[in-house]
Amino acid sequence: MADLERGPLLDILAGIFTRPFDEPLNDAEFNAIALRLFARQYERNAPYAAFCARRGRAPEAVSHWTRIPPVPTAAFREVALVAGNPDDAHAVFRTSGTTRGPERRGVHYIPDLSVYHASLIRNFAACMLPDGARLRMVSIVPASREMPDSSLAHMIDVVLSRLGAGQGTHCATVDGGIDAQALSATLHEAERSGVPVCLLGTSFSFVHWLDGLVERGERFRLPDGSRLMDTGGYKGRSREVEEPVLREMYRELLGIPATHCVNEYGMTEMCSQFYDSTLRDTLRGRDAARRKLVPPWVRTRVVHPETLEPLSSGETGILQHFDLANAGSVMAIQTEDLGVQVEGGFRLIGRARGVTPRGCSIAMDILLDAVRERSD
Amino acid sequence: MRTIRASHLPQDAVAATERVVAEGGGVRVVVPTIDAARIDRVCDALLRAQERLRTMRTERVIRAIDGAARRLSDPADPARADVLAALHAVSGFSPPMASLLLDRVAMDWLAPQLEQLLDAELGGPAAVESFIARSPRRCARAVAPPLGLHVFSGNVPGVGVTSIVRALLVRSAVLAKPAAAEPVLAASFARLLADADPEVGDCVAVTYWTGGDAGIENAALARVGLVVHYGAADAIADLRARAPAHVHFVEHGPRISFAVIHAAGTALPDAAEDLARAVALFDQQGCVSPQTAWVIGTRELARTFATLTAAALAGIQHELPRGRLDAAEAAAIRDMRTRAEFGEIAGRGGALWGPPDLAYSVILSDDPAFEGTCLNRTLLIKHVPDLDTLIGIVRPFGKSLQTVGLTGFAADELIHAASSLGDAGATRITTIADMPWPPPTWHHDGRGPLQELVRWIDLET
Repeated sequence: MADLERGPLLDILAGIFTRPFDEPLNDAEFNAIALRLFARQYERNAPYAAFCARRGRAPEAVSHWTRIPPVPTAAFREVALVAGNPDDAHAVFRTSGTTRGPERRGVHYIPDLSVYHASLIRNFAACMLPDGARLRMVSIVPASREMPDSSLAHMIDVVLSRLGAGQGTHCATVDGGIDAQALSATLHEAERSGVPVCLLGTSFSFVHWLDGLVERGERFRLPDGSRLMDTGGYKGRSREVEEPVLREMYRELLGIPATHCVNEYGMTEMCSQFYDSTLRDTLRGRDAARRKLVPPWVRTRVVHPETLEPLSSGETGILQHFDLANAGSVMAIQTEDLGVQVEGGFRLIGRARGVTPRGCSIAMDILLDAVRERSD
Repeated sequence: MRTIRASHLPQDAVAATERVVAEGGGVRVVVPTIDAARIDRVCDALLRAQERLRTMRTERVIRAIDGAARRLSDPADPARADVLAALHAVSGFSPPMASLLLDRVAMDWLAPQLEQLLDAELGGPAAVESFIARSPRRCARAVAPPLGLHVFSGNVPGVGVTSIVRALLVRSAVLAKPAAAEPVLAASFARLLADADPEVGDCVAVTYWTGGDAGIENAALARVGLVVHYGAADAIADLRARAPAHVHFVEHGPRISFAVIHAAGTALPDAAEDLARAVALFDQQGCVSPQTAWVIGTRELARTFATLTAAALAGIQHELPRGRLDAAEAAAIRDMRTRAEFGEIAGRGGALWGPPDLAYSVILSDDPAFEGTCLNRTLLIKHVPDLDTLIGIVRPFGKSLQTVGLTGFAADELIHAASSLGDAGATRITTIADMPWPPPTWHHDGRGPLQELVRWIDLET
């Protein structure tokens, strides 16, 4: 490996994305790269530097990555958090708008797509294709040319073109939603040919589509080795289904066993994703509880919601991620997600904001009422 | 693990099985399992007991309430210890805050305060005992429905007991459902009341069920003539829609309160100290707690005031530490802070004061628009050039306004300000220091606390 203290950063990063997936960087290695990235981001990103300075954490005051100030995901709505000029970014991803009024959308500028692509390909391959299979990829997320703001659409496009067999298929458009007919045809073709497929999409669109299958009395027995990746919350876009129930539907209606159903947890503000461990464990003969796997170039900490002090394994708290793949923006991210550290990864519990706290809901209800009355 | 029973039910309605409604911090709160049939028996017993209450002298009712209140204030009484333990472990208040709140609210239930309330509302106790002369040829008597269903919210301890006390003063028996977030105080009070005077205690039943349980609630609604409902707007609307038309419905829904600092006439450090205390009490959960303060004056004065208020909140943290936050509350505060901090970093104005542990947050905002906060000692400070501007800003939210705390207004300005704010929708104008502590006789949400429970019978001769 290159000299971590002085070698070119991009080369070092390229090196870590090719390391064995089950061997996280040791603390000294991770620390050396993290501190260099931090210094670079501090230097090139004025809002982040101001945020750190207010906490007395300029790079010269930080000797361990755990002291790097994680920026709240909400900050991506307020300022351009990019190491360099936002206008020079290769790609710009935006969070989806919320139902709660005219809030700003979070923006993640990606100055260098090569780092992002290298990390996402490595991560997806390790967690979704640990057997080295090249599968027919079928996405029920519209292509990224239709949704240029969506980091998920971008990621799936990269997976389709770089890791799939053949072209891969998008069975959804922004205007038309899921093309159930095309999807059925593709899956029937897989059944006939016996060639396994990999389905990719959001949980809510899977639920929507599966409900349609039940209505039409349709079901599939997809070939052995077929697998599925779902991601994201529901946000009121379909009925909500508990994860185990959804996995039972996948088994029942698609013939994909729970071991081959992988939930992905990712966010617009982060280049790295977290995948369920089940498929990788199963295909490598390991019997362990379902958890989110942390790629070797990421450190995830669970911290106390009030104090942000680290919690011990088994305690539920807020997730902080230190993601070396976020080289061009901010490496240290504080989420609004709740999780718990477990052996070999973490379990995602949900959104801390899932339940709106009482005070806020009162203020919000009152504001909405007044707005409604004025517009009536 | 300390087990606290959060119910007070007539003997024959007590269930054999119990369930846990809250657990944590070494405390487990249990209530009997209850169903529609059992609620029906509870209502039978309450209505029987109310027949004795009807003819009881006011003096006796007041003596029983006063006795229960004194025991809740007695440091040696085990009932007080249970209430304090639950306020800390279940409701999340810090121990010093729990003691202070219990001491203050229990004062409102002492005999002199109750007599004062009857005087202010009904011209004295006589009007609920018999007809009293109103004019040479007319007498009148105040009568409340024999039985009421009272539903409490969990934000401010003691509000539920006050509701029970008011009902008893006008001889209305009470079936009370406390909130899961504060399940113990009302039940403890009811037990102490029964200790003080069993016949008065028989007129109050307290137990918890999950809000919205149609079987139980409809059984209760079929037997009561009155509903007093504190809580969230949707919960109130839901119960109201199910109540029969003849049921008198009294609601206390969400309200928002704010402070106004007329900088020219104010000693800012004193005002900051008062405001900080008003924000800190009940960890800002009360409908009377200020969420936003408008400084009438320049941005610089608002900034000075914000600095002073933040310092005062830091001081109060030692004396009355903030209570526990759950993850959603903490995330909401962080979200608000992030917006403020990065707004400032981006040069859009605004500024943030607050320690990393979220003990308090003070946010200076240059946008004068009406806004609330996510509570738990999160305060917005804004500035406007004059009162008229502020009135224009708050008027669209009039229906939801509650208390306005004022400082720095000269006597003649005060009348003008109070009138304008009242016209805009506020129902209580007071000093900032008094915001959290309305007197027992206050017109809660603009209505007489006993008057809103009764109807008058006129006898003309």
